[in-house]
Amino acid sequence: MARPQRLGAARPWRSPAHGLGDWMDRHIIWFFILPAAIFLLAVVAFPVVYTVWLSFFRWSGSATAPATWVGLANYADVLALDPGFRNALWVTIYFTGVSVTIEVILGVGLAQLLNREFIGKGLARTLLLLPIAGTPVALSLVWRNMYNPSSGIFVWFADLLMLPPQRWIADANMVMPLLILFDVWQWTPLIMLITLAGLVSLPNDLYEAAQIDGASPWQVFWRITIPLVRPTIVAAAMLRLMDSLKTFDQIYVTTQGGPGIASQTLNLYIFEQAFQYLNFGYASALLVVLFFVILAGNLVLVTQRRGQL
Amino acid sequence: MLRGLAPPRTLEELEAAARRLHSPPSVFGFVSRGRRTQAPYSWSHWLFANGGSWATPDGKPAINAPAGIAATEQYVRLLRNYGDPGAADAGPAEVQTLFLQGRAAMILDAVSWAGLFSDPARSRVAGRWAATLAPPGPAGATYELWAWSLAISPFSDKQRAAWLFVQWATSKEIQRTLHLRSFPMPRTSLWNDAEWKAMAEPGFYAAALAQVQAARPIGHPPFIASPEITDVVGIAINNALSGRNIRTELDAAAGRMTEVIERTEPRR
Amino acid sequence: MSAASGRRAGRIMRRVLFYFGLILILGVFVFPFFWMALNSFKTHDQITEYPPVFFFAPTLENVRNVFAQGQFVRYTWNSVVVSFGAVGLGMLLGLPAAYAIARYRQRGFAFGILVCRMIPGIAFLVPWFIVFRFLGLLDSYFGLIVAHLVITVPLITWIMIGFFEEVPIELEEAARIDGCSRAGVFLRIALPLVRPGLVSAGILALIFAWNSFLFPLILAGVETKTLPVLVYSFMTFDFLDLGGIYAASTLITLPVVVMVLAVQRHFIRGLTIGGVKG
Repeated sequence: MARPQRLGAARPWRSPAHGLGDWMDRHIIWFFILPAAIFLLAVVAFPVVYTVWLSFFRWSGSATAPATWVGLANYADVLALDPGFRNALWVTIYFTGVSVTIEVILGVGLAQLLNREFIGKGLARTLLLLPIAGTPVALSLVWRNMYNPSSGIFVWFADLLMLPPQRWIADANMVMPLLILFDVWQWTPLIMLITLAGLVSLPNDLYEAAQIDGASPWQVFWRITIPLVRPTIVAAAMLRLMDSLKTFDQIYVTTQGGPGIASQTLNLYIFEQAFQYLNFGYASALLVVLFFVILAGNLVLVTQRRGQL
Repeated sequence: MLRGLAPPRTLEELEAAARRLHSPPSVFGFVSRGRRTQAPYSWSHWLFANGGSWATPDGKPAINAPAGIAATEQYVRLLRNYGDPGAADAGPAEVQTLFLQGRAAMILDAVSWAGLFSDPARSRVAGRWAATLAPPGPAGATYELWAWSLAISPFSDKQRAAWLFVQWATSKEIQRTLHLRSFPMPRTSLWNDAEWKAMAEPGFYAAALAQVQAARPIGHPPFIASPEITDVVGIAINNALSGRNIRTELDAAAGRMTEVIERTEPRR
Repeated sequence: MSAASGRRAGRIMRRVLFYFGLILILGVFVFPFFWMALNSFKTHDQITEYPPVFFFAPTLENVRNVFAQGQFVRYTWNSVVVSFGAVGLGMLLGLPAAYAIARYRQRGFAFGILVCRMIPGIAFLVPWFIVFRFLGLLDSYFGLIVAHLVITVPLITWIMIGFFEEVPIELEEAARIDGCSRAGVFLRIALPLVRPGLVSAGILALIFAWNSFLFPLILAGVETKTLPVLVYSFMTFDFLDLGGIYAASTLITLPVVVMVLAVQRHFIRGLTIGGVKG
């Protein structure tokens, strides 16, 4: 693994050129960063600041009815555990927690399984890319129809297995596991690919030494492979965690947050508050709270990683 | 597909007929909208037929009054026992699809769908369905009126063009074209049009005309924050569909409704 | 049976089980795509039929409909303009930044890019919607491209950091000694060496920009609507054109699948470099 190296550290021989060009070149790093920094400020930082500011108002986006200052009232509403927020928070934690956990377990398992030579390895890897690359909206529509309680293909599977009829996506108790299943289907390949890349780079002599010592495959896996590849797994998990908290398309298209609000994550709840009810101020307060939730979730994993290196 | 039953003339007869006709999984007795954002619209028929209303005259929620509870009990009973398994997720599209496939014995929904049901290219029940008045309940007959409106924004810089468009769209010729395609239009003359009368399925014309003359806009809560309040009530109906206690759900919804009303309605 | 052939039988058994399991697993991951494509050729009736229909006479009606009434070509062009624009501009912004982070250890800046990746799309949309409306940027290519930079820039930067870190510092130092400016080193030494990385980052950014739904849902209008929004709009308020939905879904997924298959090694490299390097 390459360590980032400081280019200016070794004192290179300087050309005798003077002038603006030379000055620019000496400070090139700032010019390299400048465009991206402007982008961050204008397109990212500004909206964040605006959102925080807007969270102290009540506004419906109307050009005629002005925004009214309400101070911390929006936050009070959120934190007094507005039932909609409470529900959304729970759904979000449930969805992300369970799906990322399953994805990591299955992904690592799959990577271990595929970490050998076999016929069709290239084809397998290719096919496993499809769920990651497919357009989420299109895939969601397909899964929505597969989950249809009257004519979906899952009804057929259940019938074949002689299971009692279910309401599938129209069942408030089933809908979250179904959405998690969809998410696991879509993103396990990503964890698998990243982990596989990590596994491939592990040195072989360790395995040989372990085999000589008589370790069983299971012991090799748990005591040698996993600890060595752990940084990679954690990095993949962190990546997936970040993205999972941003999930919108899939849930919006598949269930619209329903039945009722059984699958309404914070993302969908905020979307609804902002763009369906036009409560822009309240939505902004919710966004600020959501951001802290995300930060907290990410900090947990970052500290995990630091502990490893 | 009525098997010798007369069209139901009360909500009780509707439920009895649904029970008779319900033979899953090929045919469901009665299908209607159950999705959170859609259910209140269909449910409102039961609400008003039982003598209830969205709110009292002084703007307090009335959905958890005895009439509201009775209405919800009836609606939920119908859908849970004689509806399709996807009821809690059903919006207009799902309900329509079931009826078009011939998998729903009865449906209570928009008049404008008649043309679709009679289109042999898309409907398996074309020529084999009939319509009747929305059945009255204990408090009598109520019919819902829902109209799409045209408005010109004062902020538009194309107001003249918009006005010309409005004139064109509401002209007799254009409205007639749409009316004959079964999008009912507000011009009375169209409802007496001979060609349209000839097109309509048996019973449909009489029922539609009678309803439109007595209809009131009861399908949505009469408040500024109507979408939000509709959703609040929808959550209650949807939870009731999942089996939760109706009274608790409606009380909670009434509480949320009060909060929304206080936040958004101008002070009286 | 001797011990040796017993062992061999065991080995063969294990291999058979492995391939059987593999096919099962691959089948699970591929099935929805297969189902999506299959249903595109069914009539509406056949799609809603229960039990599900696997053998039938295919029809091109749905595909024809999608092109006929959906303005499909127009929206494809919109998707192309917005995705390629966002990737192109993203490269201009992200490549120098990635190089600076890799070579000059701008950890703070890297953290800023990471934060960008953490924020959910909806957080941008509320202020963007209000500001874009004020600036007249709603339903404009420029507005959409700028919005999608939030997807492409962090991705490109993050991936390219890994690739730039792999460029041997000795090559750059040698060039500097030869009198090359720092900018020159970047342009003439580093960039050419990370060309595979450019493909990886570019493809990934392109695919995620192409697949984006939430941003065009709110920020695009009649003129600039992209394909994912079009597909969603097939799920209209009432009549559910299932055939159209499946056909449109297949048509929009096809270019992505082809792109990925064409450059799969680069795609995988791009996906994994963030994870392996950490």
